Amino acid sequence: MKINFTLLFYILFLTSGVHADNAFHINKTTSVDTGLIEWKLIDENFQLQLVQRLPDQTRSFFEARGFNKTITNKIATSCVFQSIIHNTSKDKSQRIHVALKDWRIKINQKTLPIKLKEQWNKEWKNETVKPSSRIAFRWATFPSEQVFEPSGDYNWGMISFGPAPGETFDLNVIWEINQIKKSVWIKNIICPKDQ
Amino acid sequence: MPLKTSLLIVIFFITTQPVFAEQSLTRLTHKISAPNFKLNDMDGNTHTLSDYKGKTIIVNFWATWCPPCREELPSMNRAWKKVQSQNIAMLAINVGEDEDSIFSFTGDYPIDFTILLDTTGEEINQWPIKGLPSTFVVDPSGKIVYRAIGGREWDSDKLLNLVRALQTTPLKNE
Repeated sequence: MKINFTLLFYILFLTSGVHADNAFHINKTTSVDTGLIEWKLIDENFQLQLVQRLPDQTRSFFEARGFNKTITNKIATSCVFQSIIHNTSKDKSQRIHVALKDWRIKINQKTLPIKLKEQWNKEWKNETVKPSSRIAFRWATFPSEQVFEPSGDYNWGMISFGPAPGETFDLNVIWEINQIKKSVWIKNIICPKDQ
Repeated sequence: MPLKTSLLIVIFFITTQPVFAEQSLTRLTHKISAPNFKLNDMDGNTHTLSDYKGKTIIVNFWATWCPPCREELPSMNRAWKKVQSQNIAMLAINVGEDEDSIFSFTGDYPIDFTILLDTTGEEINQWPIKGLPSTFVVDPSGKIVYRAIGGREWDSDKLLNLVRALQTTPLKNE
């Protein structure tokens, strides 16, 4: 019996659970229905999805929850993405820790932090924002820090990266898995235009 | 079938398996007492945690505008049909919305178990929650024993059996 050893080696590699440190991959897809672009970062046990939100989508969401036009416009034009992080591990020991304060964007040769929900709230400290609006903002935006357990935990929420509509930036995604730090750059993320 | 073809089929199946983890519940290393809430349901009746003493309770926090909540709730409703006669209570605590928003939502997403209203968002602050949906399983003694961050398919018997088991076998601290 003649065996194709290359194929056999490939199967053994796939099934052995051995992964290189930089085994991640990034997919970029465009929705046929909406035209919105999604970036998906897949690493061992970790998955991040970033889906463009049109500024009008974000405006209408927050206006419907009682924010005034000035605030909704400022949020909507801050490059907001719908974001999902998923612990995809089947190994019960693989806890993932994410802190958005560690993430950075690179735009026009400058490296900048992203704007967290706490900073938005501070901006509105002296403005009249209804408590129900603040509640909706808090729970609709991605937590600044979170642990994802390996039982299928995931979370979703909006992240505002900051650049203006139509701008392109690189994103440094950082997470820890069992206290081992991982860092990946996603290049050329596009903030949707304000159509 | 030639060996090479068989091997290619095996490779195809290995490489196209979904990357998502199998769903489960996270067991809390140290059991903590569930906060004793006092919240109204859709008819204005007041509910407290102690009303459910002696029962296992599945407590879900959600909002109508939360996409994974909308995805998860139908499975919770199916789960309710399976467990309602098994000394298990299910509570869907809505965060920050009023009766009208919830009422119109339940026209599209029927919820047959108890909906409670945390209109001020104060109750959710008492629980260890970072995002919606989050669900906790409280054992008959009032301790939180399991947690799920993000949605689950709640009508899965694999999940429900963990909940059912609490009636007879209390979990100890790990």
